[in-house]
Amino acid sequence: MYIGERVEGRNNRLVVAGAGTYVDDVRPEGCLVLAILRSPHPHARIRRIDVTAAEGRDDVELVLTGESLLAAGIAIPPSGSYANFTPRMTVKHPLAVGKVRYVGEPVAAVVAHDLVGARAALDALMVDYEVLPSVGNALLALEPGAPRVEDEWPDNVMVEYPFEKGDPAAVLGATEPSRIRRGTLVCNRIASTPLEGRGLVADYDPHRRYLTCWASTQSPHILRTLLAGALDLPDSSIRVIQPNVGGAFGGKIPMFPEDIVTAHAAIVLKRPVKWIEQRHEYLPAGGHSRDVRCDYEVAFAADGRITALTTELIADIGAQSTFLGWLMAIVSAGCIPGSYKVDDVRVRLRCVVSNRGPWQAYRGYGKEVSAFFLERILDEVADAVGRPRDEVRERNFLTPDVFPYEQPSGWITDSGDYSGTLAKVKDLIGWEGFAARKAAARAGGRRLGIGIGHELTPEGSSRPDSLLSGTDSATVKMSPHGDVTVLTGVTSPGTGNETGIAQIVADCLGASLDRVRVVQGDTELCPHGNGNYSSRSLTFGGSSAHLAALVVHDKIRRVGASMLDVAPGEVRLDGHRVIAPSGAEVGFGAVAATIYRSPHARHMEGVEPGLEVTRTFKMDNVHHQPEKDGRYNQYPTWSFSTAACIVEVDEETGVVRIEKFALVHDSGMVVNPLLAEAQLHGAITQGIGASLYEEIRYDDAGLPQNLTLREYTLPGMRESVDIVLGHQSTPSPFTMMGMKGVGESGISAPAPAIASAIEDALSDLGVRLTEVPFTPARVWAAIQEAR
Amino acid sequence: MSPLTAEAVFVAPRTLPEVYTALEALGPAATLLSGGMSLMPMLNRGIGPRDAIVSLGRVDGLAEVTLRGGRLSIGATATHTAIARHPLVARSAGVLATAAGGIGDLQVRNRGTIGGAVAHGNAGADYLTVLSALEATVVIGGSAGERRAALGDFVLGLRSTDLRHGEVVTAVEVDGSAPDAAAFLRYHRVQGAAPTITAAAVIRDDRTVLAIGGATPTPTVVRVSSVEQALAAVDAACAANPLGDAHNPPDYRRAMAAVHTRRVLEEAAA
Ligand SMILES: Cc1cc2nc3c(=O)[nH]c(=O)nc-3n(C[C@H](O)[C@H](O)[C@H](O)COP(=O)(O)OP(=O)(O)OC[C@H]3O[C@@H](n4cnc5c(N)ncnc54)[C@H](O)[C@@H]3O)c2cc1C
Repeated sequence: MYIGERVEGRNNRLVVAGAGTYVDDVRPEGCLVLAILRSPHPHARIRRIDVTAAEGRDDVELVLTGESLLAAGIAIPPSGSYANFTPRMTVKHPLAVGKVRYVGEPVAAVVAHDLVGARAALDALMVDYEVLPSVGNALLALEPGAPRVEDEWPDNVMVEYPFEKGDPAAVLGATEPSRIRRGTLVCNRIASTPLEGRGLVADYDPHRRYLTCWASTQSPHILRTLLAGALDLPDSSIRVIQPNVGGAFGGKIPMFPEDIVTAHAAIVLKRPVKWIEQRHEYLPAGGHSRDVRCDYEVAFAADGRITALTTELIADIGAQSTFLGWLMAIVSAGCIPGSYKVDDVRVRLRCVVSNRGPWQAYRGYGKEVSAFFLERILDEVADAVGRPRDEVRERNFLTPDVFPYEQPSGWITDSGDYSGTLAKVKDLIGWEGFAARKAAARAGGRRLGIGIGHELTPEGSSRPDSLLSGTDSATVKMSPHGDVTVLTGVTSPGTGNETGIAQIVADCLGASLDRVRVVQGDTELCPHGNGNYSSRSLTFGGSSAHLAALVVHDKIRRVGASMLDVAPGEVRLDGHRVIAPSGAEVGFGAVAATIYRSPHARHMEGVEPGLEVTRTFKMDNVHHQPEKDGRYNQYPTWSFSTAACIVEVDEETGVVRIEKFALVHDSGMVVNPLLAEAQLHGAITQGIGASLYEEIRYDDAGLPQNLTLREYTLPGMRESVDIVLGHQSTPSPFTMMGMKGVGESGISAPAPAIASAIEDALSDLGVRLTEVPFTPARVWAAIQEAR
Repeated sequence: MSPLTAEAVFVAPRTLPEVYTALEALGPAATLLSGGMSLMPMLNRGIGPRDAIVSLGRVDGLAEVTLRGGRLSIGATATHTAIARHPLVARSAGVLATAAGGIGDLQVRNRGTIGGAVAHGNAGADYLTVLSALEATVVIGGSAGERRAALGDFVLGLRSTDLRHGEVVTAVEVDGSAPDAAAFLRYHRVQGAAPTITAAAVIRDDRTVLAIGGATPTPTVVRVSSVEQALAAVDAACAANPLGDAHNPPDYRRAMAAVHTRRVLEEAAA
């Protein structure tokens, strides 16, 4: 058995050796370089673009503007429908048409012989802008008479998504004022910042009318279909190849304006064209996440049980582009109240456009926002009733007997045991007895604090009427020598998920793991799939591969049994062999040889020839037909974790140091604990980054304040924390083998856990942290305010 | 992305006179390049002239560290790494070695030079602060000859110096005898990030010089008579000439200047 084993990630050595081929390493003969001119203004009308000087340069092959793309018929109309709300939509232009709406918005593109020439051509482009009044954040955008980001809209609200369960207004009205708390919480903007930026190489063959794209993408099939739509080509005329990807975290879910522009340029020029993103392009315009504000009102009983909760969410989703990140706000809303049982709830979300950059998916996908808001509210309630924070969580947790549980949003949580992870993490961190440590440290002039944070991480997003509908096909095939190849629609952003898929297939077939190869990331090789997002590589891709392997298994069993002269039911498959009860055995190589070489001979009687099978797993608990069964659920599996940490706060500077961080996660049955832990280490570190270090800031006019990594301070080795992990397994009753997704787990819990610990360290001062990240300046200001 | 245009000129003379000649010939468009650790990121983002680059990298002898006539002289192209490891620096000005060893990360320290840092004049730069406390002299060369300026007179404002076109920082000099006591502190957000606040204190006989960088456009330098007097002087300087950004606003930097004033004086006195 390989499932459950700590098998080393198959890509580890390649990555460490620097032997991967990334998109910038793809260098077709005669490849040209594309560079993008971006808006320096948050909001401005484009009066005129003078391209003459740029076009006049010897080394410039092409200059594109919004108008020239429009003339070529390229514009992205709205598509898709949404279950519970109707967004305002606009036609999207890969290069700005008429006006620019955020700093970094693509305005024009040049294609030159090399980067130096492209850069010089950008300098030669003259754009005449009429600067317009701008709205630098959602609150300004909501003011009456505010400048409008989209000229055709009556205001700046793109989505209005309210839902309610019970009657929170009545409960709040009947609750005495001392049992009510109100406040505002803010999750500030961040950016996923993968090591490798975005990029695409496009090569068009006019004779075969065939476009090949190498893209640092998460979803080759989806990019193919979206590009085909944008460029008006048949899907079958485009091949998308995903080379090695140097990190994605959601940030490379297609499609980007630059993808369309680069592919179009290659078609026009009939030559290969490359676009590679620069870091100063990424930071303002590569897509951000979070940036949500929550005004809440919570009523509670004397024991800390929450009796009613209302939340008004305002998501600043920036100006809209082809990016699809704004949907993260829907998930933030849909995950309230998440792990907690509150019968009277109202949630109202408004997605507001502003002159900030657009959102793009990032690990957590909105769940980290709801986790931060909920956990902060739980801590506040605990303080209000004077009960321990762990006890108040226990009091409010959904209990294991209520599942499957319909959230107020309608989504259905599959299974959970939240008290279990809380109890385990308290042991790991040393919860009992910490008070004495804290007091001793305080006596020595140090401020230590302990905190907890819980997260709920629904995974496997399957959106109705979208290409991210949650399916991934897999092909399992065995060659005449008995070697196994798995072709899968899921891709790897560098995580090594191919290792887990190989483990599943090897176990199902009785194959040797080293004879199972997994191939990903090529639309001409792999069957259709959604690629990599929402932690679904194993729950979907692994399950499809398992289904396909079962069919291959059955054929090997029948033919092998015939070769051993026993009944098919009597043999077992193990170690790449078919084994009879007598101990007689025949290797997979010999069986496969028989199937390929002697399809008309004795052992193949009644057996269909061939050893190549494609299957597609369907989740039973995704519901997209509310009109039929009254249910709507887009998340089949709901992982969860509880984190606890001990911090030391320097009260003079506001600097927070994490002394110890522990997290107990539950993602059902784990296929490869080593890889699951690697995912958790990464997610937790990103969660810590977003809690203490990272923040994308804008001024009120919408000018970005982080143009380089000097200002966008990513944590490095010095900031890395020794993480203690614990496991719990509450299998999903709906998935194959009880698996749940693990890719995002661990990114949400750090912020509330750290906030809770900082407040504990400063408990005598009564400091409240309402805004993440907790930068030293912010912690220091909160201390001054409390004093 | 390469910052150079196709037509760019790049010269790397072997002697200082040749550098001066090149600077004169190329005129105001010429950009001096040393380690490139501040310059290259700016050129990459399209900031500043980039058509004519004069590199100091191959000038013979410009990286030398010498102790002569009681003065420690550090050549302009000595790298942060070299300064952090140099025995003469360790002996005469240990705080300077400490400061050099904490700048940025190893790659930056291997390329970046003290001349570049001084000429760049960035607020909070480790060297400016520590050299201020060491009361350093900047040696400036040009075709008209050599001149010397006290560091405090050389750095005029945020990234602005008294360097005239055609001139080159050739060395930095400090007292060659080790101080009685000294301390250097840097407060920065993450590994590799520029410091928010740098603080240095140097005690020689009964004289204590304190420098605080990062809270004012140029280092705030104080002759210390008492901790209270130093705190008051630093605070007044921060109030008069505040510095800050969205991430570390002026009121926060001002408070941190006070905290680090106290901490660095305590450490130096310890
Ligand atoms: C990632 C990173 C982290 C950093 N962290 C820190 C830090 O923590 N602390 C810190 O203090 N600095 C930091 N720096 C800046 C670094 O110290 C630079 O090395 C230094 O500021 C400039 O030295 P340089 O030799 O690289 O100069 P260059 O970048 O080559 O030049 C800088 C400027 O000075 C001019 N110039 C260079 N040499 C001379 C000369 N001899 N005479 C006249 N003009 C000259 C150039 O024309 C240019 O305008 C960091 C830089 C990076 C990239």
